[in-house]
Amino acid sequence: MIVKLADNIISPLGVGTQANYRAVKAGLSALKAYPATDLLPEGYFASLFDDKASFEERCIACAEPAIKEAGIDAASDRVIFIISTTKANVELLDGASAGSTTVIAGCDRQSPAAAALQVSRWFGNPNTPVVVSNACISGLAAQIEALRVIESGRCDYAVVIGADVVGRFVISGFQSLKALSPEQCRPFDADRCGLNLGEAAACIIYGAEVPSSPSAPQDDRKEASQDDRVWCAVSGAICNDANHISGPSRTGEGSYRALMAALDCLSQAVIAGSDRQSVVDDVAFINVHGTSTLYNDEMESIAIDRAGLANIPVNTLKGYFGHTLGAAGVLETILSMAAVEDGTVLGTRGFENIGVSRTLKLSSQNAPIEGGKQSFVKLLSGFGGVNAAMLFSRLYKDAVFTNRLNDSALLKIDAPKRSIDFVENSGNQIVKENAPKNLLRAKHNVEITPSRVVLDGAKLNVEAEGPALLEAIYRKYIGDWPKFFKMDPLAKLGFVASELLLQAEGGDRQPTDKRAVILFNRSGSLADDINYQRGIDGPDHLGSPSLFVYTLPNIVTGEIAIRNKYYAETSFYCIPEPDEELMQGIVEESLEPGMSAIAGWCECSSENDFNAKMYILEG
Amino acid sequence: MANEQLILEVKEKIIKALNLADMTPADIDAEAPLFGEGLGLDSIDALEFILLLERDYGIKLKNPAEGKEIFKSVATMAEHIEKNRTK
Repeated sequence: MIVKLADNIISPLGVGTQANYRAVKAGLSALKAYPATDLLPEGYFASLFDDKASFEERCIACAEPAIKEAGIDAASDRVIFIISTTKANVELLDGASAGSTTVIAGCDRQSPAAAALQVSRWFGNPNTPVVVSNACISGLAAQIEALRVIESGRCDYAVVIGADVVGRFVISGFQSLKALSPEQCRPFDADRCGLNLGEAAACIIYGAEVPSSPSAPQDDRKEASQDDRVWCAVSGAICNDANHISGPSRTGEGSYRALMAALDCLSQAVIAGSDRQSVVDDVAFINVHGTSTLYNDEMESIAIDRAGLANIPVNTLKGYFGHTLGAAGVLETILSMAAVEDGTVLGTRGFENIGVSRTLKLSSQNAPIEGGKQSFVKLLSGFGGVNAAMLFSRLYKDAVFTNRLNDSALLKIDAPKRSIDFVENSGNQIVKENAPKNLLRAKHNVEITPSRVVLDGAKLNVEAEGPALLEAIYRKYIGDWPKFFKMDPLAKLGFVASELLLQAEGGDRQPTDKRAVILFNRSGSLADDINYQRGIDGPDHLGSPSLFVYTLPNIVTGEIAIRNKYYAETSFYCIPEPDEELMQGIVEESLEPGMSAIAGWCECSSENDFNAKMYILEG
Repeated sequence: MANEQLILEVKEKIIKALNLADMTPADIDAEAPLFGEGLGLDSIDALEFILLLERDYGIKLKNPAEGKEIFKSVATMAEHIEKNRTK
């Protein structure tokens, strides 16, 4: 469990969290009609900034006031920057790809990891920033990473920034998927027909402890106006559907699993003296993804119903901001916190008549929160089969105390007061499993470069190299998964590497929720980004939907999960270099006891230039 | 029934657009369903077909749902192209 220190939102609806909250509460929307372009002859609805700024500028402008408010030293090595984005600087490819790719190669800011470095260095931060690029769940995945990095003690503070820039690349891509609504979106409505895209930047800062010291001299006047509660990110989970890279599961499998896992709190924090039901009883609402596409909203209704939570109010904020991609999870978390503080369940703008198969408590109007509930659940789903859920609770400040010396704590909710107490760990009341450092063992390893393939130290004899190598590996060692040929080079690389690892492991492959897939690289899906951009730069300005889907780097993790029916976490991170210690730390903190992972470096900046070093890691 | 040459052309375009490696036009039965069984195509493939119609034949679907009938088989696709093509 971690404590929120500060937050900020910059969106076309306003600057600052309170300005955005007031606008939403008043029912305002930033969605408006944009005129036809060469890419979109029919025009489109979106929520876009009037002023143009780069991805990094947007991140910095949003984070700066939050860092100030939190009162942390951003230049300290106890602070880490975690950036949630789906496409970072992809819009820089516009025009640049018309001639050759050399222009692009010289402009490294198109690598998400390089863009993140610009942001963290601007604040003088010495740590490697971590980009979470997990499609549309990135904003929650980044907060889950903050939870892990702080709970493990690797850092004391995490600055989580969510942002995406929406331009020709992104808009044409969603158009190629026929996912854009020709009008303002209508989440969960019977007449919904797609999503609207939106731009925003949102920042939330977390720490291990309550920042202000209660023993400090108190100013009575100030004290009286301050609430004595703080926001805590209690728990979170990521689960894959193992179904399809772009279609949500028809049974809501991953979303249901993530929801159950977040509410059960797993090892993040166990609530003593109270069961799952008392956690559920404090949930004021579930803020869902609710993109307004036919399949997403239907899937979420099934997941919530399966989890037995259909009696809890549900809302989505897409009608106010559109789908803000990497910003969405952070922005919607912050506004949900503001809404709970205000005792309000925000209305779902655009919704009129229920258009999903399960009965949900949805309303277009704001409503008061009943019974003084102080928690909410946030849900997101995305391409690559990913789903995330997090539980946030507003708890009494004086009751939040972390015993970080022995790093074990017992969290107790006193139901009537809704406060929590950490008490010293005693005997069999250990509730948090603390894994010793470096507990993971590499059971198998594989290395693939354009000129060689090495499995568990032995060079494999593949009669090909360069761009032809991956297909040659597929034909020689795999051969029974024709979807391979549809994959982009990054997915092909990760896929063949995972297959070689699994062949080395041997045994039957069974569906499992005990194996995660966690991959890292520097440049995200740059090779496929360039291919897609070529299409929209062509004479017809038509982008290929199958190429667009692969412009999310986490699709490779989804392909591996789908092939093997892995229902556990799949995550994709961008970091500047293949830093083994950093990758190992992130993977370790991600795995529950008894889990294993296919993990490691999977970089493919072009069809000619790729490099995978992946492992099967076991506890 | 669309002409043989167009059917062959559509098959070739499908193989190329969907990266159906190792398949030849002879492997695709023009009357067989494209989705659900047979080639095992999915929703993204259907979107690729919409792109193919627009780019290569100047046919724009007003509603993606129209695709369901048009993309039943190679034969139905070729027929639709013959009737509606603008290039």
